[in-house]
Amino acid sequence: MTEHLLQVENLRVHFKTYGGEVQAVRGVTFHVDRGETLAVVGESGCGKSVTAQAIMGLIPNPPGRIVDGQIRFDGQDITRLSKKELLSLRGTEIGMVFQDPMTALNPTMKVGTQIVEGFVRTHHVSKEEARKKAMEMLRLVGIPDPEKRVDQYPHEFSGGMRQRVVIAIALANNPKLVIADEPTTALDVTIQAQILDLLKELQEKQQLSIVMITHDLGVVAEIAHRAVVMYAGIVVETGKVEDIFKSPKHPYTWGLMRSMPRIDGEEKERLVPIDGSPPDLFHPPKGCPFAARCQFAMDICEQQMPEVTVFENAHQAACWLHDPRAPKLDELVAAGRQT
Amino acid sequence: MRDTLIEVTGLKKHFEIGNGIQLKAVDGVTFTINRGETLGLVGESGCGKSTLGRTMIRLYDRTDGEVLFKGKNVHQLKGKDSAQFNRDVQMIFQDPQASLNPRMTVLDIIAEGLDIHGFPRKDRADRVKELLELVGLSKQHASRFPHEFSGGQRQRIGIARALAVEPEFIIADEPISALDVSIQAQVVNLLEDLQQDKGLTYLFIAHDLSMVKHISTKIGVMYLGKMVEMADSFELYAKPLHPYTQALLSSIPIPDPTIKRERIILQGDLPSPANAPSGCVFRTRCPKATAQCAEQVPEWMEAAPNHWVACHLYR
Repeated sequence: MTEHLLQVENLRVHFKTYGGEVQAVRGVTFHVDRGETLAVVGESGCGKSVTAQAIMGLIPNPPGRIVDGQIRFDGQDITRLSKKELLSLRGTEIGMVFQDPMTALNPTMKVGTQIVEGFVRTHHVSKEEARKKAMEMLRLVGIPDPEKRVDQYPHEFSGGMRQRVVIAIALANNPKLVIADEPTTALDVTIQAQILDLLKELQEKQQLSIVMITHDLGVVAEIAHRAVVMYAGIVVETGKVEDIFKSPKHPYTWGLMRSMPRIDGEEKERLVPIDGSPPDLFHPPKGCPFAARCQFAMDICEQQMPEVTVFENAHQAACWLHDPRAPKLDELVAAGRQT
Repeated sequence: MRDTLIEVTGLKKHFEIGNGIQLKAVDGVTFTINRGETLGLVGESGCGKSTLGRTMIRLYDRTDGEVLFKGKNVHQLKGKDSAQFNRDVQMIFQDPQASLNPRMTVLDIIAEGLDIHGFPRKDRADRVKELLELVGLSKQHASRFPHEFSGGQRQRIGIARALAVEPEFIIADEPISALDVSIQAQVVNLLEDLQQDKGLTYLFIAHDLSMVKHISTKIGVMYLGKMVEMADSFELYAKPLHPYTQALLSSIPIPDPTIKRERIILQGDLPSPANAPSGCVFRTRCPKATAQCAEQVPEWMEAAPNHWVACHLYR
């Protein structure tokens, strides 16, 4: 059996604030294989971005702190690396793509210089070689006219083009893993389509692994092989994308899917919202964090954190409904769909 | 016969951006909205959809064209008519954090319009309680401040404020874009219920095409200040005519991994509205553009009953 490229094990991240300690990530476990795209889905505050920051060693300490858990990347535990070791890991082995390409780029630096900044640091190449590399990267991410573009500044690029530059920076050192935190959220839908296509194409060309943080289930279906659904700092469901969309196992995942209108739907159906709002992570509930909003909640759900049930194809869900002692799920679902 | 509430004819809003350059944010738009209908406006950022909404209700002065509200030209209203118009139209904004004054209580926020339009002071608190309950909050919330609420709740406060003066027409400018998916559905359902109960007419501006399709009776697609297509919502999604609409629809990611579609990926970026292409504004990115498109501005015409498009392909 080959080892996963990235293995996150029982990760816990807390942040100290004036209001107390926020338990942003509360025991998250998942893995990413080589050449695979994993989507981490969830709503704001579910801990998906904090998880991504932890993988990149970017949790600011203080106020943040990795309380527990391991992040094994290519055999080594990232949580134990020194600052210097992390620095050499980032930008060489792990590339990053952020949400807002305007703030991710340095406005006072030519894009060419930004693209090869990390490359020059590790490869000690001449100026000419660096410039050539920058143009090669621009070409790779589909920016026309690289000879001219390489000497321009970020403000001379449109939003979509800037995001291509950010992707070029992430890929300059030929990383094994790219972490993309909502890379298309700030972009218009026609530009989003361009960027998703580019990521897919690059992944195949370069045998990349991608961790895609997103709140958009459409993007998940479009690009990911597997997905992790997070809610209130825990993983509620994980599995192959086809399995999650075809037969979601957690009520939160059901809720998410039913609260979105379908563009390809035939007729108008009333949306089914998830009532209420996510719990306060200063004082997270003892049991399942979704229990208060779940229409199938039982007594046990409020008392005790559910255990993980494993289905076919390593599809997993953390929900008491899958416990053998729970009432038959099919009946509950049938009843729920009618209401 | 459908009852027309708003008639927009050749509306233009140009901004002077220095050096004598005109930014044509809205450039000759014509359409009508019937009473009780929801018109969805979609398009990419910078296409002029928000400016159109704001010009329609006089938040901006128009450059040319006219807007008739119940038959009266809104840009020429004076005195009492003008005050009545300000009551009849209300707006819901995108960011409920930014659009509510953090130093005012919910009561004062919602009652501000009541005070301005001279509602009796003594009924003020009762009316606000009624409104809070209408939007799914409780009367205890009246004495709290905006920061004490979640995003979805704040948007409900914004809706209650808009409803306070009993408007007929509401412009909702990206009302759910700042909200999480599970909360979006709550707010959309609320807007739909209110429309049914009160016979409201909406202009719903958004870039989330699935949600727009869900809520709208009719949809207009804008590109660089022009309306390029308008049709009933199911018609538009089933039979898009304009190449831009076709590309826009095909680029929406569908949350179903089993569906594999032929996507039309548009090349290039949106040109600057300060320097729009000649002829058809979409021609620089259009996969079907011909020489004619550079020379002639396509006419806004009814290609099928109630299906309007501006494209040379359908002449």
